Amino acid sequence: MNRDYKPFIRVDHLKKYFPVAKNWRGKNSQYVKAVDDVSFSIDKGETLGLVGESGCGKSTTGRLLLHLLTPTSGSLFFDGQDLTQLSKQALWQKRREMQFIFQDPYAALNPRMTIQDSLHEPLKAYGEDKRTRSETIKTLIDAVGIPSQYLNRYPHEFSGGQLQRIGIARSLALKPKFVVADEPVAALDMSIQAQILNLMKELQHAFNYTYLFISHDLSVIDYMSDRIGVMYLGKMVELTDRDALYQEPLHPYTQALLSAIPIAEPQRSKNKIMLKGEIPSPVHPPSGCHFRTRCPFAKAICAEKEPEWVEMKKGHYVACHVVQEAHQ
Amino acid sequence: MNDDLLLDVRHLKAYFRSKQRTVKAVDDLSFTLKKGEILGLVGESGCGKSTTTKALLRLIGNQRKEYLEGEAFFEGEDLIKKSDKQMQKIRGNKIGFIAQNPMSSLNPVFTIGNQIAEVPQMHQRAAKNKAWSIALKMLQKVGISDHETRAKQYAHQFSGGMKQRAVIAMALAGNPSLLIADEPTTALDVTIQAQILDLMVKLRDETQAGVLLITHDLGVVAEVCDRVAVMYAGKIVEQAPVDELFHHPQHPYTKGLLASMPKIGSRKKLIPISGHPPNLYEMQGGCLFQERCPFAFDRCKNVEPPLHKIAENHQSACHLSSERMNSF
Ligand SMILES: Nc1ncnc2c1ncn2[C@@H]1O[C@H](COP(=O)(O)OP(=O)(O)OP(=O)(O)O)[C@@H](O)[C@H]1O
Ligand SMILES: Nc1ncnc2c1ncn2[C@@H]1O[C@H](COP(=O)(O)OP(=O)(O)OP(=O)(O)O)[C@@H](O)[C@H]1O
Ligand SMILES: [Mg+2]
Ligand SMILES: [Mg+2]
Repeated sequence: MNRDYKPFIRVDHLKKYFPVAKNWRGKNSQYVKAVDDVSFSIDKGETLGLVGESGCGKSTTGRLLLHLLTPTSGSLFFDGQDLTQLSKQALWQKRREMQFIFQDPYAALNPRMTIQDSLHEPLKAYGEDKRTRSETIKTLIDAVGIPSQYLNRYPHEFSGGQLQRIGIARSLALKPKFVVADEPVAALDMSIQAQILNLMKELQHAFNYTYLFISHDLSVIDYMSDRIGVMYLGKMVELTDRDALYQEPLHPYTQALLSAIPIAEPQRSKNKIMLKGEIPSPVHPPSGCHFRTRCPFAKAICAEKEPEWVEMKKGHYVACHVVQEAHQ
Repeated sequence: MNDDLLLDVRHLKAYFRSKQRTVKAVDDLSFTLKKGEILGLVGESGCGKSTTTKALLRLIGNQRKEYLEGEAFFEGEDLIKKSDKQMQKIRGNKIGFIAQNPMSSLNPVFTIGNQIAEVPQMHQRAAKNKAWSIALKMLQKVGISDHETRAKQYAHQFSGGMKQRAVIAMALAGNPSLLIADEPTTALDVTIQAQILDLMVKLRDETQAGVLLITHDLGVVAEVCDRVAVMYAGKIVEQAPVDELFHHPQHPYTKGLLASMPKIGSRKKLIPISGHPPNLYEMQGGCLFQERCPFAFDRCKNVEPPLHKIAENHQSACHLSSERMNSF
């Protein structure tokens, strides 16, 4: 490997624990291990897709990457700089280059501000003059399919999908270098989804944007990503190129996810791998491999030892005892 | 009257008025829902789906700028004529509602458990501890692990998908005879989505409840709906049993929707339906889809095509489908 090679974004052993319960002394005694020792990197101009079940830690990972949350431990490099070490002022300047598209579009916009003002606000804060602002906003708002006559309305006067698109326009208006897009098209119908996804790709081509693209929708992830990471209960269980993931998924959890995709063809029977058992608690995760309680291939060792994060083939990382044994 | 009929909506209109203009979000909408039936309502972002649900639940129509007209018979009584007080009794009790924005149903200052328990407490006069145990059971049913700890948490401590499931738990806790679900699974991955859809199907199977399911996910429609209504610019443009709709779509808009779906394994550029939906306040005469329709001809400009029968249970509002029928 090239020693000088520095990825654009790199996280090492990132952890975020949220306290859930206090003991009788009022001290935090139990934690949700929302992100539990995750390491990966993203190259410039690349899209890393992040998938996994609800509550597995995707949004938390995204928020950590932009330093909207302080990690419990671990390090986090953006463009060669350790974000956890930056001063407030320096971080604010960096923020312009890193934007978040929020999962909840209602929360991202101030309900007492017109959309017009909400869109201008961040650009103004970073000192853009009025004409440039208006032009940027007009172009983007057109591109996401919101009529510009709507701009003087308040958030509650928009539909769910319209708000989501306004949130996307707002985040992209700053021409960020890195965007964490958290379920950016979840509320959109297929036709507008296509329009937005294409827009994001076009901007990426034009300005070499880097994306962390979070979605639970595997067909959307497939369309957008260069590489894909699969998360389960705070851990990353598999990470590889898009094609490898879809064509030869190694981790049993990835395999189950892929087989459960609903297909828009009524009455078509499929070989679904239904996951047995309940989603375990992130407060008391199973010993060893977190997935073992639902894994059809679980063995004794899976309960005893946590599987290591191993590069099985070039660029194809997996944390699974069964896969690792089979490949030995 | 037909005994099987649960909901009979006739000529429903919901307009938003302001000084400058009137937005005709729902314009002369009619449909029926039978007991034990799951009806899917699909259509582009901003076409009026959520407004339809809010009108039925009378969450709009109470302010001067919100205009509501038409009839909506639920178990034989017109919801549009009910007083606020009567509606409060019906909402959350006989009619369960899953709002598109989970936070509009969740109160940030009460625990999730308390909010779910309130449903059986208020409507079924359940005792406090009984209500609490119902709440726990519901949380478990929607796949939230550690439900006893989680029930004591607040909305901001839940992930996006967990909030959505909390709202689903709340809607189902009242054992409704009609469930109105507005994009209930947008934040959920396929495995949990399957579990939630299963809960809805069970509710239907066990209690003959009817479900109005709004979703932009045609895969979900194919899996659970009996019938589908396609909405465009405030109107229903096609209505058919699910198999029929997928295999013999008649309206060019429906065909466009089906074509814009991403498919795994094919990374061809997605084909959105070209153009934008019309402004809902500057609508010209004729067919509302004409500007985007590849098949539009003279008549489409002048005459609005009515929704008419083209086969048993299959209706379409397109001059072309009627042409074809007439030429038989
Ligand atoms: N309070 C309001 N005042 C003015 N216009 C409104 C209001 N609420 C909704 N609208 C407009 O009415 C139209 C229909 O909105 P609605 O929320 O019903 O769409 P929808 O079909 O649910 O879309 P989505 O799939 O994006 O949620 C939209 O164009 C929206 O901008
Ligand atoms: N502020 C917080 N306080 C306490 N717990 C939190 C907080 N934010 C997230 N969590 C918990 O951390 C875990 C991971 O949440 P996160 O929002 O990252 O999940 P996610 O993968 O984005 O899920 P979803 O797909 O449902 O949005 C969940 O168990 C959640 O309850
Ligand atoms: Mg999330
Ligand atoms: Mg809506």
